[in-house]
Amino acid sequence: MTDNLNDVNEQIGKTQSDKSGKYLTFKLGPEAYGLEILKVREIIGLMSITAVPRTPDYIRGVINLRGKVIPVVDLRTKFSMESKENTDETCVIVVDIGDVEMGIIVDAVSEVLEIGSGDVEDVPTFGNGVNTDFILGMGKVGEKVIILLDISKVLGKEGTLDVLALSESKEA
Amino acid sequence: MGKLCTDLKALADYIRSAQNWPSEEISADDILRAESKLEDIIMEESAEPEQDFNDISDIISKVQLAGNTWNREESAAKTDVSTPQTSESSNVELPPGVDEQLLEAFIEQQLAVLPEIEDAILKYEKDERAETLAGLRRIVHTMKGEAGVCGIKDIGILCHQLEDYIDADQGEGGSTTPNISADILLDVKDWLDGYFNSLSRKEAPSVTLESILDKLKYIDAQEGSRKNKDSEVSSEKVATIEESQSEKASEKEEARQTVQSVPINDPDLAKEFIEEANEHLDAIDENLLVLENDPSNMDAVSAVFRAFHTIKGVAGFLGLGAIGDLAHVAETLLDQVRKGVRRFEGSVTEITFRAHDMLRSMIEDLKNALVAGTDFQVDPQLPVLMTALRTILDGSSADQAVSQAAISASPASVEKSAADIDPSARQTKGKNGIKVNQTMRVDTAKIDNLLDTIGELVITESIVVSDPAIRSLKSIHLEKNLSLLDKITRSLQDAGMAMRLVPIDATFRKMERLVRDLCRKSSKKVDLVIEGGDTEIDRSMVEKLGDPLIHMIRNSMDHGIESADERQTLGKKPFGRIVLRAYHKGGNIHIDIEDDGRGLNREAIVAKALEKGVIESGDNMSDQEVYSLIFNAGFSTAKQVTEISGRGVGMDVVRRNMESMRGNVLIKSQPNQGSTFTIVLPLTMAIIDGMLAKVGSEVYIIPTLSIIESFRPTADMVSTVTGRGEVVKFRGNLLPLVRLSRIFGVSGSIDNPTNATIMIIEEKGRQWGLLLDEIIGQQQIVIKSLSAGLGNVPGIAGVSIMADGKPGLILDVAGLIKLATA
Repeated sequence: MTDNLNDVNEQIGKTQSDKSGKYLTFKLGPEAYGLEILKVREIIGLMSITAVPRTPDYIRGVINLRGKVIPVVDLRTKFSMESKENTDETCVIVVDIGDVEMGIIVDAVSEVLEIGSGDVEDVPTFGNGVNTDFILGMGKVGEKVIILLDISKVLGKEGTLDVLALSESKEA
Repeated sequence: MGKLCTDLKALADYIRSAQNWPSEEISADDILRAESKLEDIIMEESAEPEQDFNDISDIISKVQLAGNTWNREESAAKTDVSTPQTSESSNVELPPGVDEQLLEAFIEQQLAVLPEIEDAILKYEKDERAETLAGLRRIVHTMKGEAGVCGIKDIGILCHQLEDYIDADQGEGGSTTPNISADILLDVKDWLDGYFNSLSRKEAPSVTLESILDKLKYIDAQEGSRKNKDSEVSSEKVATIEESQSEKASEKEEARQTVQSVPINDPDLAKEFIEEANEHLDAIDENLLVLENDPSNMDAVSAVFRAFHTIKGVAGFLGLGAIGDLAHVAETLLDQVRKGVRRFEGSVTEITFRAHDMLRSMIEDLKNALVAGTDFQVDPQLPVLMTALRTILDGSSADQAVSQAAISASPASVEKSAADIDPSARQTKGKNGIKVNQTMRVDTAKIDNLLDTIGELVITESIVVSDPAIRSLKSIHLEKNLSLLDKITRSLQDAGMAMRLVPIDATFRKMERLVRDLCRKSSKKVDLVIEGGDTEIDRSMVEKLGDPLIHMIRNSMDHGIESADERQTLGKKPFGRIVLRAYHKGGNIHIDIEDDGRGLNREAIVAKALEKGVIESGDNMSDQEVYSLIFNAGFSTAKQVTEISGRGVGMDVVRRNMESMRGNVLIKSQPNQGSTFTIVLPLTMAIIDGMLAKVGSEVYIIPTLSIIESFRPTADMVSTVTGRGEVVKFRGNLLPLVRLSRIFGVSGSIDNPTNATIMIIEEKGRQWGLLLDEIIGQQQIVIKSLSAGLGNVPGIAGVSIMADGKPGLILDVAGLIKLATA
């Protein structure tokens, strides 16, 4: 009995400690987001993007990252925010999901924050219409609230975008 | 004789190290005694040569007897108490003095030899000719010898048994009886395959010697009674074989010398031999120079000896007696030097150099004969040199002979150099001859790395050349150098591409074995015919091609070819026929798998597809469309799953591998006439020629292979059909017109076709018009796959870095047509 309790406690502790750690924070409009630092490869300035036809609209296209071709996702479009002119601060964060590298376009990169397990709260439920699957939790740093993203869920199942399914549904 | 001495010494060493040797009958010392007596005979120092000779024969037959009983005991012990023995024998222990490099080289070589063995076995199975078997035996014998040098006992024992097994048959009055089972031989070959593969991975072999020896023994036991009867006779025979051979050799020599031209039986082997021999001759050259300064350098003597020995062996194997004889005499001479009987000085030095020169010129002659496709002409100076060599060996006044040989050799060399001056004349002669190339072994990883780098270089070069800053300089000097750079880059690229290409023959050969095994399993009779084996394909494709070929041949065997009875009732030959054919066509490589079986059953396929819900109705489908249904996973019309096929996995594998190679499979079929599956593959997977075309603000790359022509249409060439579809008139045909901007949803493109460009593209024999804004240019492009993150995008085949450093999308014409017609 006590063993079982300990197990449960351990598990709870684990899930909480899983969410604590270092996060790269960035801005999208007024909101602040956080990405697990271990998944971030590099941050690059915006470069010319080749559009790929018949892909979901949040996929801006592909870029040439030193000879490697990687897709770039526009997070604003993905989160159904209105699109915005590119500025000097607009940049691409290259993330590594499993074996796949991908760039995400954000308004500006802010800083790297250490968020303790006590400062992470579960995602509140908003009822229908708001999908919260891709949110790890809400981080509290001082007065600010940071939305911690599970980037692999943002970009689709296990890191691959189901382009075929999407384009087919579009045709229909 | 010299050789026999060395062999005897080796045997003595072996017996000393062998376990359970029944030493009470004969010991290593006895053998050494025999060896020294033999040496005495050779040196003519023996008082009673005949008596000694009998003694030697006696000892040898004793060894033979002891060897037989020992073998029997050993194997009995091994089968009874298998566990401890097995673990011992499967460990590869390097005897001291054998370095790992030697072992590696040995394994590498044997892995290359194994396909030869398989070929020989399969050939023997068909023709049952003694020569084929003898060829096989020679390979096995060589392997035995080399395994002995490397200290791999298992292989030595197995090869020995295998030789016995083959000999047992050959011994019967020269007539070959089909007692030898190709199955057993193939089992042995497979065993060797497994053994060498484990060795090459530096693992303990996963197969045990007993398992394979048992198979050979089983057969042996059946023939045992006869063998035992003969054993004493045969042992004497074996003992005297070496001697009688060398004695006969001298007789034959004379006969041979009158025959001045020798046909080249196996050009491929001869080609390899020439390369190898030249390497050995280089080694001889090098070591002879060392010896000239330091005649007592025994390492160098041994090196020269070994080189002559190897040349002798292979030359004999190829039936090039003249070369073999010369090498043999030279070898004998050096063996004496090695043993300290002679010193390497004066006439010996001189004659060795002469022998080396003569060998080199004969190899050169052989090469020329091969190129010209004529018979090999034996150098007329050879007998003179041979006599000189023999005179020295006989110990008589040698200097005279040498000078004689030197004088007569010089005009020959003059003639030769005259022939060398005009190589073009020789080239033109070679109509049906083959080219002899030098080859070099390189690690594949290094080549891959080089090719990747060349790919990057091509991209970077075009980025630099088309850089606006450089363009704006407008310097003629710079232009000139840039175009030179471009030229060099291109030739480098071509050279790189050529390096990737390998003949498809090896892949095809593997299928021979497959067909044979399947024949056994299914009791069908099938002849496999290979055509175009020298067609070259990209090395990276070879690996991917193997599996689909296996599946397709299995299908042809299982579904296509009928059983022999069925064929006879249909009035066909009982032997089914499968043709594997590779050839180039229209910038692609085509591989046909053609059978003369029952053909595809359209009704059965349609019925199965309806049942599976893949299609709704088969009425309006073309044959080609129906046939391609079989590529669906889990699709099989076979009524029952056999060992060979029927689960519906095979064709799915074929489809996947073809897709990954950007290839295609076309199917033709006639009921009861057979079917032909044609694999169409691009020449190379990495680099293609592409046209850059603009649509709106986007630039796309279209593979030049799919493009027929491009033009700007006049107003009367384009017309609309029912207000929606468009057609373009092209050479009297009306072709559907596809607007790329519409399919890809690109804005800002030219709407009026008369201001735009129409490109005629072809896919699977059908032509389409593609409406684009304009064509920018042509470029060689290095294909990269569209990022893994995006997966398969319809209409896009891949991506390439363009001159400005931006990724450019490569159109997939087939996918595009599919999109347009969807």
